[in-house]
Amino acid sequence: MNTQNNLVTRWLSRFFLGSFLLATLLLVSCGDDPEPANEEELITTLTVTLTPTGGAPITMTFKDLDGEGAGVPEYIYSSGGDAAVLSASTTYTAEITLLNESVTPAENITEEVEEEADEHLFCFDKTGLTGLTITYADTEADYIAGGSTKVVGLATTWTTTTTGEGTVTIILRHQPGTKTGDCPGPGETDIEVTFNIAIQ
Amino acid sequence: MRDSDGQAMPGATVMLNENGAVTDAQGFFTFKNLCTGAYTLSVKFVGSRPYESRIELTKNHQVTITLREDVTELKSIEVVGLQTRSAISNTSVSLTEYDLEHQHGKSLGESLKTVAGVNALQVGPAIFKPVIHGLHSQRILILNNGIRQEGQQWGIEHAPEIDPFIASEITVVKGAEAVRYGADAIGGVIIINPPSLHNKAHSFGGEINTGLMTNSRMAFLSGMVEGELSKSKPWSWRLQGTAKRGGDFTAPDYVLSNTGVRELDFSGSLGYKGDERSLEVYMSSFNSTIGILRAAHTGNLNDLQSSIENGEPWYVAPFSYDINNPKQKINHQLLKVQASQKLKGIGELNVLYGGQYNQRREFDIRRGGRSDRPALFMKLFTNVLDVSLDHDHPRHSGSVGINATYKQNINETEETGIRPMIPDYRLFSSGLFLIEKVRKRDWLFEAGARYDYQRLNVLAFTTTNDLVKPSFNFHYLSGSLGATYYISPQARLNTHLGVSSRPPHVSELYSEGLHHGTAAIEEGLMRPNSELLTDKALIRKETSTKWITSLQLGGERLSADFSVYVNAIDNYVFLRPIASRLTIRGYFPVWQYEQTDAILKGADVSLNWYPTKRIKYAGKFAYIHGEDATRNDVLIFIPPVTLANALTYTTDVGKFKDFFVQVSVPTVLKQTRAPITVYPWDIPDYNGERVYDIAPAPAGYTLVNVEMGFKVPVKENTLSLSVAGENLGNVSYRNYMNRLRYFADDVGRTFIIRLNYNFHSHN
Repeated sequence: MNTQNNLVTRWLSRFFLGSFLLATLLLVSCGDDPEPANEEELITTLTVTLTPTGGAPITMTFKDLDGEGAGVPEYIYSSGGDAAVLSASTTYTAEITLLNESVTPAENITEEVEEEADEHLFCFDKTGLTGLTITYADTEADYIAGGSTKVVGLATTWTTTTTGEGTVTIILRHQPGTKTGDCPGPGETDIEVTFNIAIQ
Repeated sequence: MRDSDGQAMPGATVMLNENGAVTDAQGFFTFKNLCTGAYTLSVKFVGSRPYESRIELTKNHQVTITLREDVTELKSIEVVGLQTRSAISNTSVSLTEYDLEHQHGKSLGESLKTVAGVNALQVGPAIFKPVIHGLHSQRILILNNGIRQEGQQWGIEHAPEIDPFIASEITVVKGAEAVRYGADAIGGVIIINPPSLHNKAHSFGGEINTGLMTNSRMAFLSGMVEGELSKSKPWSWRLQGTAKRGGDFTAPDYVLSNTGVRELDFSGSLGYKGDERSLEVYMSSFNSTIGILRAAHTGNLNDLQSSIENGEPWYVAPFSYDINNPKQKINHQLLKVQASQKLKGIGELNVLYGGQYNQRREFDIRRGGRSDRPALFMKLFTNVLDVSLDHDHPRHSGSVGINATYKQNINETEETGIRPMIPDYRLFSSGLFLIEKVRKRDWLFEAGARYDYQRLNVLAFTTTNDLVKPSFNFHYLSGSLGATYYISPQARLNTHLGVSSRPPHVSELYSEGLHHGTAAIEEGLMRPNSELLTDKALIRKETSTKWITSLQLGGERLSADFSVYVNAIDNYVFLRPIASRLTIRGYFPVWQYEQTDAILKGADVSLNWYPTKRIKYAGKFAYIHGEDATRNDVLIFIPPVTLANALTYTTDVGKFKDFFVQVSVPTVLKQTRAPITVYPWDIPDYNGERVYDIAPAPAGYTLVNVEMGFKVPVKENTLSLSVAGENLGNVSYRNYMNRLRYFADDVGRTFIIRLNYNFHSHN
């Protein structure tokens, strides 16, 4: 009985020792604090700069610094108030810039879209603005060497005629391998922002 | 047949290949009119270790079997044998080797759907997550060769990381088993048993399984070899491996683009089994890549709305084996060391250590050349130590044990560049349990109690990237009471009451952010509207009180299992769509974890009837009624009524043994108790209190499956061949439990050819 118990003890102690050695091997990096994620791909800010021929530019900005967080996004119109004020019977060149302001210094996301112009397409949906026409002013070839003539929408031309009030929704469609150049087309939405516009 | 004391054992089920017999009052059993050849003789009996032996029959043959008692395993409350004829199980149901052969090539979760009362939460044709009596994820424990599977079980697109080819038997325990296994087993246990390493009559043997599937053009190959190290010493070994590759599945009307699968698994074991002690070392490696339907990757609510309205996936490409983003790559490594030692006059001491490493990478469609970088990258390390002392006397048996688990979850955010869904965490848990069973005449009584302690350290970031490190201590208790009455050797009535509790899992507490697999923002109980709460007083334990009663019949011509249950769950944790949130990507659906008092009631019936020796009818039925008692409303994602009818004709045709033809007709009814529908577009304007779903429950459907096959003896070995056709009518359908029902139809017609070769030699 005694020898048996000895055997058991020896055998068990070996077993436990072995197990814990394995356990130690499998445990790594205990006690280190994690680093916050560097969210380089996030788009926090979209700005449309509308420059009339020979006039001062107007900007409208959508800003959501916490990405998918519950923070309420901000709309900023350079003309003040809660709408971008455009003049009737005017032609504006419009340019879209995208930033990631969650990192310092802010990252320019526009460049990423330019580099992948063949996968991206901006679409513009208007409501209640009969006096506004938006036309594309760029093609993939403007950003990619040997690119196609499919439109992109980072540069557009906004032409106003009569006065009115309404909204413009700017949608960025991400269409790797499936882009046709027509809106909305396949793919998923990377940006969808609605601005208030007043033509006076 | 005798027990270890030499007493005759009546009422034990003896299987000789597919033929079954039950021992009489003196413990005798007989098989008549057999052909010469090799047979596998196996015995299963309440409270005994399963016995298996290979025998060669040339003339009349007599064997005496001594069964060793065993109360250490759940087997003690189940009698399995072949389910078709002799199953008498408690609250458990087993899929035998025979059942599993017909599921080869499918994933574990899909194979389990053949058990009445078991469903699957699905994400497309390749990801199946088991659901037992309406409960899933953190509430279901999977015992993979004796060790609790510790993977990433929180997401609905996270299927168990297990190769079903390792199993020769899978048992589903539907009663609450929290007493033995702790809070993970509140909803049930799935036990994956490989064949025993020992008890073999041959010194070398193996098995090859291979097959082809037309839909997805999948091919699989699985092989196993096993043997003895030497004739004189009781050491045995086994090596096993599986490879699988499939491309896009196809619905009746279109290709389900990017639903391919690739899998490569290995396992190996080495075991010693003496009279007094045993030792087993087991290692396994599971590696898979699974594509997620391309069209299910949507952006905001408008994208989701148009997917639901169109009724067809927006992206359909010609068939391909390529797996592009979105996809997941999963690796799971396991090491198990198990030892037992008999202690004279006390019982048997069992010690089990398990180390597991689970790595999950999810790839998304990303911008700026980042698609090669995972959008989610988690590493989960788990160490488990279980020690139990089991005693076993003719009149009473039981077990006392402790277990300890240490887990660490690490996010590789440097690699992903995305804020993690589930924070890093460390979890230490330990439990102490006591189970005792007493046999008295025709009764078997069972009682158990358990105490658990859990320490959880969470390392979470606020939305402004400040690290917060809440830590919690939880103490909780579980208990169970059960009784079985043996009406006759072929019938018994069992009733079981279990009370178990668990604190919510880290994912239920601290999920935060966009869940790429489901295109929804998910928020845990402690992260409402992106806040980060740390007050322990806000955490409410989930407590389940489940009563299940079953009647089991195991006659020659008719075997049946009727179960009814009620499960009252206080603070039931569930995920629901609740609101929408404006981001730069437009409005996104927000799903929040919530707690309510739920009542689940249901019934399972399974029936096997042999009107003649050659014809078998099998019927299954399962119904669950889910109720939100607090809101007086229905529960979301409760499986609909399922029923299945199957007829099998078996005969021998010359050299072909066990030639069979089977027609089975599974039916799934519409979930009439689904929540109200609020379409994605209407979410921003919905202010009601009721729980809703974003699309209505799909209609019910009936499929027709046909299978035929036979066995051919090749010298001493056996070759089995079968051909199956599933969804022969090529019916377009959607399943309520499939998350991809919002985007596409389920899989259409498929033909599967399977080949199995069993070989062995006596050296």
